[in-house]
Amino acid sequence: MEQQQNKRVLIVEDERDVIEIYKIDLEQEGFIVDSSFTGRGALDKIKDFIKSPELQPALIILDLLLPDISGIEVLKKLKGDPKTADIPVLILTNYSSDKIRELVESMKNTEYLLKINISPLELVQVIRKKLSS
Amino acid sequence: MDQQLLLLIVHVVVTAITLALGLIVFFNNRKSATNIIFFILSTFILIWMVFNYFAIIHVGSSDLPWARGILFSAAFQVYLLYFFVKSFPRDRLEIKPWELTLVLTLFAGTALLATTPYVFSGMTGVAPGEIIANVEQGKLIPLYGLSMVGIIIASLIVMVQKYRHATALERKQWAFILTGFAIFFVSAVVFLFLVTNLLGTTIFVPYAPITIIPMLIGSVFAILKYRLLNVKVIAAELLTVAIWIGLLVEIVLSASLQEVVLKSLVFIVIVLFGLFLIRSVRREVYDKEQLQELTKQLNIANTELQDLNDNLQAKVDEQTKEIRAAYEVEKKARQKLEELDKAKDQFILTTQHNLRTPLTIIKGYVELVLSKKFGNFDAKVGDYINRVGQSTDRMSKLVNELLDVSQLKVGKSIFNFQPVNFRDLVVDVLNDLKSETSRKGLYIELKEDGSWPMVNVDPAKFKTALFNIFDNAMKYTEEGGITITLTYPRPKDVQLCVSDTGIGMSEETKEKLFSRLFERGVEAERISPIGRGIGLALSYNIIKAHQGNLWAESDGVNKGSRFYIELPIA
Repeated sequence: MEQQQNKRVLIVEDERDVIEIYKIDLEQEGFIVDSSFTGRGALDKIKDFIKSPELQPALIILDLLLPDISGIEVLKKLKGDPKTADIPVLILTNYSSDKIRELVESMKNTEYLLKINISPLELVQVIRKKLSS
Repeated sequence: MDQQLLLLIVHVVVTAITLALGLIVFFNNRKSATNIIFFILSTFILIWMVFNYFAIIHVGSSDLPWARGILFSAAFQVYLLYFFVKSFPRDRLEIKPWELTLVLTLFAGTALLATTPYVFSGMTGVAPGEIIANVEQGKLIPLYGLSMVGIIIASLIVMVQKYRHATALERKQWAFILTGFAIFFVSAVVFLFLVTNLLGTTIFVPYAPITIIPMLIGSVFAILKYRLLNVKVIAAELLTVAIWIGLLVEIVLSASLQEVVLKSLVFIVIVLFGLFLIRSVRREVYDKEQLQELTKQLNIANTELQDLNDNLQAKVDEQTKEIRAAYEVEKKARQKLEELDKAKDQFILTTQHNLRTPLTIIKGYVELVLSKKFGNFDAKVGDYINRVGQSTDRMSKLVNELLDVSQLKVGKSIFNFQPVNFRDLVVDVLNDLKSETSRKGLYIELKEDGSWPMVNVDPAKFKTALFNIFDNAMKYTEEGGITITLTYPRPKDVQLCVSDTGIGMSEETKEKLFSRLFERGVEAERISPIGRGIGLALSYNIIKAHQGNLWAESDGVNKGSRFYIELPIA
């Protein structure tokens, strides 16, 4: 099952429990899971990626409602920089607004998933599919 | 020019003027009492002048009837004058019967008295240097004088009264009459009374008729001159008549027959010409008056229009203000509503998010435990944890629908329409329900006669709609099953009938079926305690958003239900 050896995944999520339940399955899949509880923290990590591309994650899981700045802003920054624009992003949120969904899906290599509709195992499947394509 | 001739000319001229004025007034308005009285009055002035003339030229005792005739016709004059002022300026003579009787009685007495020896008893011949003969006065002459002065005073009183109550125009008319009277009185007093008595000469007495002319002319002006423009007509008429009279005098004074014929011809031509002149002047004046009247009316209309315009502008301004105020109120209300709506949406989104997060976590941990990555456990424990998972799923679905319904209701949801095979949609949803139907031991029959069409739908949303309808049918059916039939009610529409053998429904339930506030029936509650009545409302809104229709039929409680879904073909 450990096909994704040494690939990094960044989870931007303010709920520790959510990080926890995804992290277990993701690590079992072979991912190195990095996490950030805030939007700003995520942006700092992205700056590091720009400096050292070897730290760049294979995929970012991003929540929309964060304690400081919104996930949309993080996404815009990420997709606005050519160095990080190609990183696939999974918006994993429980905030389901059609408008935001439209906006998110107009971004490059970005997918919108409702947390409640997806189990950790299903998420791993989605990621596997995404990274293999 | 000898005195006899001068007298003749004076009398002829005054007679002619009187006659002319009388006729002008009469023909100006033949129906007016004022005009008729004036005409009769001028006729009697005429008669009076005839008597006057013959009394003067027929010197001697034979003059007595003429002299009496003067007083007789004078009585007519002054009493007619009373009636004239009484009726002027109206077209009708308004007089009380007792007044009429009294005045007529007095008049008859006075006129009769004038013919008796009690007024003029005889003539004494002409004194040297005088023209007219002296008369011997009778004993009752003061009575005659009293009657005459009395009626003149009565006339003056009427005139003054009427003048005081007159309109501006009528006052002008009265002013003409009063001026004429004043000139008449002053000249009569000066030439007939003062000169005769103080200078002891009757030289002016024969010319007395001249004094009457200003009064006549004043009256004529007053009668005819309702409008000042008529002066022109009267002037033209008077001038013409004066020329006629001049020509007539010329004819009378002609020396030979030849001259008479010649002058008569000229007279006829001049008369015709004069008539033509008067007519044209009248017409011109008439036109002018019409024009003036029109101008006046136009001015009035203009003023009214101006007022109306001003008013209208004011009204428009006022209403504009009101509309603006109303608009402001409406705008504020709309803004408020929009804010509220936004706040509501935000509230729902946030609430939903907040509800979903713990559910997500529960689901996650349930799955982790069930994966047995952290150790094995008893089958019983597995069963319970499974049930936690199922309840969590149900709860998640509920929370999802909560927002979907809210968004669809306000028409804000975004649909991603795409052509899909209708059958694929139905089969997908049926597959999702398979485990549940087999658990309950129900059949699902998909009647497939005819080909399935392509439909233009948002697949995810439309599947939700179908799912809720199928799920509802299955939930409320304990025995038997569900039959799904495809038909084409119209060439461009497809209809899906979902028929079950379940509990059916009452008319009342049917009405509330698709409302968000749907409260389920008692039977439904018993069979499926987890329903919440929101699913069908969501289905209804989704199908409506696809230009489709959803309705239900039932033959009654425990007789099954039929749900019809109609959709346009792509």
